[in-house]
Amino acid sequence: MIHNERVRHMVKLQAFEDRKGKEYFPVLKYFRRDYVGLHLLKGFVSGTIAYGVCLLMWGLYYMEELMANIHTMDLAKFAVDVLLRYLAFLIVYLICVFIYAENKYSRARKEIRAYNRHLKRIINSFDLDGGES
Amino acid sequence: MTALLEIRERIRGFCSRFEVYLLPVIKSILAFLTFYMIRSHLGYMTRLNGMTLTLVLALACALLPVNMIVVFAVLLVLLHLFSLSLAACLVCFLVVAVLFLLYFRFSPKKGFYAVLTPLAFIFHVPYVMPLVIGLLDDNPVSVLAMAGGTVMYYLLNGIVANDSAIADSILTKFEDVFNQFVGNREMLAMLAILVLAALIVWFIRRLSVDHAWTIAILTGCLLQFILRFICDMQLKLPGTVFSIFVPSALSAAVGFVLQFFFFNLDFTRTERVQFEDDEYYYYVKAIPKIYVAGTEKKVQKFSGDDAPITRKDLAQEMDIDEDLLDF
Repeated sequence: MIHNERVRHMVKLQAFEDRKGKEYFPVLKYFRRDYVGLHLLKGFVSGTIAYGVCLLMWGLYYMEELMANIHTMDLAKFAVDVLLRYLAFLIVYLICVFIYAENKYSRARKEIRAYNRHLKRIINSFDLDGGES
Repeated sequence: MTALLEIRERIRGFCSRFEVYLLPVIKSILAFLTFYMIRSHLGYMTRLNGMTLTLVLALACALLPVNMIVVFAVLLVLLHLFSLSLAACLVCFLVVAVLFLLYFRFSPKKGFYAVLTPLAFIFHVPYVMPLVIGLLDDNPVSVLAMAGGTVMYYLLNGIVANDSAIADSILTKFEDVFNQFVGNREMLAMLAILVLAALIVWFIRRLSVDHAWTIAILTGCLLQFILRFICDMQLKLPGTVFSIFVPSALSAAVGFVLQFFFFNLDFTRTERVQFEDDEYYYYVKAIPKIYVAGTEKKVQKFSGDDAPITRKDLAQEMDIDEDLLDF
């Protein structure tokens, strides 16, 4: 005989796995600190590359000016300026990444808790039936 | 109103019933529109201009994840620009790379906003995008995808407008290409208007006030209209009040359609309940959704026996024992 309540919970579990499972299950393989740390590391790499690309675009945009003035420029000051801008950009970007990763981890925990509640109800329904499906 | 609600229920029923087929069709249409617009606006590489390729790619997108539309669109744009000038292609690639590295790596599912935004610009209804994102998206970070789409639109639009200047020189100056969006005050103004409107619509929509969606839609449209009007005045852009008003009104209409389908509540039957447990006191406000059950179908018989068939009759007709009909 069909156990309506159990079927309802099983449908919810399957719907969760199909819609959000792929996004949230991998998140909880990590502890919060590890997950956020991993994102910060990825953010550092992608932020550095993005800054490099922006710097390249800036260089291409001002190419003629740079070529004309490169022998009169204070290169040390220029390098410090570039580095300071890089640090400022990276700090802002990593703060955004940190907030994103923290929020995503909290959201994943909340969603997986709801998933586990349905799972427990299914297990309990099996226990009440004496193990019969 | 009841008739409209019935139509809504029918559409919802139809969508849920044929979701498996509708989703690929919608993806395919979106992909076709995107590729067709790229082909008709850029179209510098003649080999890519065949309708067959556009159709094949659009059909392929029906079966692939929605983000593949973005991938194909970027590839097509880069190839067309490569035909025009290497500098334009390189600049576009660098802009896409920055967008990918900074945003889409974190939220790849919202990549389609970056495709929808230029389409909305082409159809002269860019103000729809803040409403769509603000009303339907849970995550306000999606406005960044819209911002990326806006930058791409202005970059490509500038390149198309000045393509003869960019393509003519043997070694095109990168400066010419960058000038299409660096210091483009209209682009910066639109970016600010769209992002601000999307965030405000999102914020108001989530407020716990009656008619939050209606207030959000009207505020968003009015804000965009006023800001665009001020920007046009300040920047001396070639726009008229009519050219700003019509898209704003259209976006408001789209907003109300979205509200009708996704958030139609009956505020006259709002219930407020209060209760407590050991740790908290709860103030709950429950607003019922407006729902109309589908009209029941009546079958009118014009001929035949009205008497219901009994089990005995059925057994006799089938020439079997009556007990065999016990299920």
